[in-house]
Amino acid sequence: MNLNQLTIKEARKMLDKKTISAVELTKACLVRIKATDKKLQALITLCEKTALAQAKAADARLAKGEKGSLLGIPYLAKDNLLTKGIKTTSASKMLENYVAPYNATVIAKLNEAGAVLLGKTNLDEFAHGASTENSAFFTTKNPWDTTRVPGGSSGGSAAAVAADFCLFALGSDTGGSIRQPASFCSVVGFKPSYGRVSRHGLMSMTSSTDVIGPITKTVEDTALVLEAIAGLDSYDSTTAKIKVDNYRKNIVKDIKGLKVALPKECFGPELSPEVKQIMDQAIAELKKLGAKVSEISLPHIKYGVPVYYIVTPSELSSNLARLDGLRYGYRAKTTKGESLNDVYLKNRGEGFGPEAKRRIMLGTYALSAGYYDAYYKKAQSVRILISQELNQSLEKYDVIVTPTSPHTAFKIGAQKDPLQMYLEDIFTTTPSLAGLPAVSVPAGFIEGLPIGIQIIGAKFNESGVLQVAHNFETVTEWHKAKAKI
Amino acid sequence: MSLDINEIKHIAALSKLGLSEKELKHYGEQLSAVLSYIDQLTEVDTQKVETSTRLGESYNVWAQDKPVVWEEDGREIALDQALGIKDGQVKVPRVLE
Repeated sequence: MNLNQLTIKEARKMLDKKTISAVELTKACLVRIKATDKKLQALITLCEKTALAQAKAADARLAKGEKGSLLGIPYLAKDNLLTKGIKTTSASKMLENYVAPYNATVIAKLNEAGAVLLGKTNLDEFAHGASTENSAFFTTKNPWDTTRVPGGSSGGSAAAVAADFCLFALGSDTGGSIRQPASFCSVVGFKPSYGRVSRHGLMSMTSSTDVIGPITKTVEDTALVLEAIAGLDSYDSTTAKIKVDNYRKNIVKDIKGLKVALPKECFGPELSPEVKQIMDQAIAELKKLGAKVSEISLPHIKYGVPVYYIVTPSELSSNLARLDGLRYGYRAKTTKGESLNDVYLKNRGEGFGPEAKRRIMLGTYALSAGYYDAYYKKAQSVRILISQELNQSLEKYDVIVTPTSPHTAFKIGAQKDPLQMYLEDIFTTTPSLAGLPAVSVPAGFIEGLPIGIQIIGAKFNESGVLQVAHNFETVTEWHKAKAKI
Repeated sequence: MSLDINEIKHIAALSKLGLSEKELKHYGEQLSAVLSYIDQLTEVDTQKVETSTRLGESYNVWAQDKPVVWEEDGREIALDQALGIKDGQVKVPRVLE
């Protein structure tokens, strides 16, 4: 086994016993990236020099006898997370040469923990999409089949973990952007509760649903990374004052008698027989583990996507208004005599890609005079109904289980219609709208392509979600399969 | 919901996006299709929803209004991002008419 294939837990033992060094571990990841990323295109920026320097520093700390769960562990971060002195592009022409002047809180926390940043991963421009095809630079390929997408928007991070470029990666999830690519790439993708992890230094998309979370090889590794990045942050006033649990301790508890709910709306005739079979297998495993499984009805869940595609564009159209190419960012060629408005129109018209433009326009429309009540207010009202429905169910049941995605990874270029692409988020938007924690764990393969199940918990019950996921993982082998690339 | 060309022009202007005629037509059609899909929300009865309901727990998080000193290298990187600098000031194109 190559060192880059290790889980965090395995590497931790070896680093602490001094059978390997952080430099050796980092070098193994760098070798793998250099050999394979030509095929996958998961990375926008590789930070070889700084990574090796960080690894050396970690070895020095280890030599002094310092302990730390992530000390010397190499990782990758999605390129919408600010990294001081390192290019942070959000996969947009608008910020192609932008270097972040400070670190996102999550990056600062990982730095302090001694984790080693290997580089920055590809995404759909400003995280708008479900395939990485909206990246202004290139499309990342799925390690299980390079003619297919890795999912998105955190597609670069999910593909990189699946291909063992790193021991873990960070993604961001607004409506499914960690969970759906995790499902497509057969890795664990976790979206914490809204407010559990600081958003400071994450380029804002939908400020009311954005969350940063880990993508890992095992559920236990997710628990470990979450402990390191979660918590109150004075730079993000929406972070919760609620105590961060010892997730690793909680996940090993069994799930005998735990109540699992299956919303019948997520198991309708639109689910293919193959996906249905995967879900049946997964549910049978949960039953074998002692969980009590019941069918429930969530009648408003079907409005998740239409609500999401009003709320998200509305918020991001405001958030992206700051990018005008005047002080920094993309600037078009200006000619004398142009007005300020002409300059804005050119910079933004040329700097943003098609999906960003569609979403900015959709949001601007939904917020404009005369349409605000019909769209924005209506969507927010339905959002409240969705949240109440989920919250009430999670008072009666410990977790809700659904498929993560309606199908396996699709071919690059196959989804040409934006509306079809929006429907990719069909099972993942509702927990986002309600701010709930949710994880995607590998649950099987259909014709060689992976697919995951989604486990949703009550707000701030990260422990419960990871406990069910870990129990499921210990009786299944899906997460052990490796893509041949 | 279908948007005519004048409506899509108005939205593009409000969005501060300079678009070609071809783009306007193309995005107009796509946005009309998306809005038609979103129109299914009208079937949900939301009359009884209290729109002042808060989705989060936080309410008025206060902080001291104290400036935090930036690290010097961070300040330098931030200024390096400027498209033009003159006498330590960010220089922008002349835009006043």
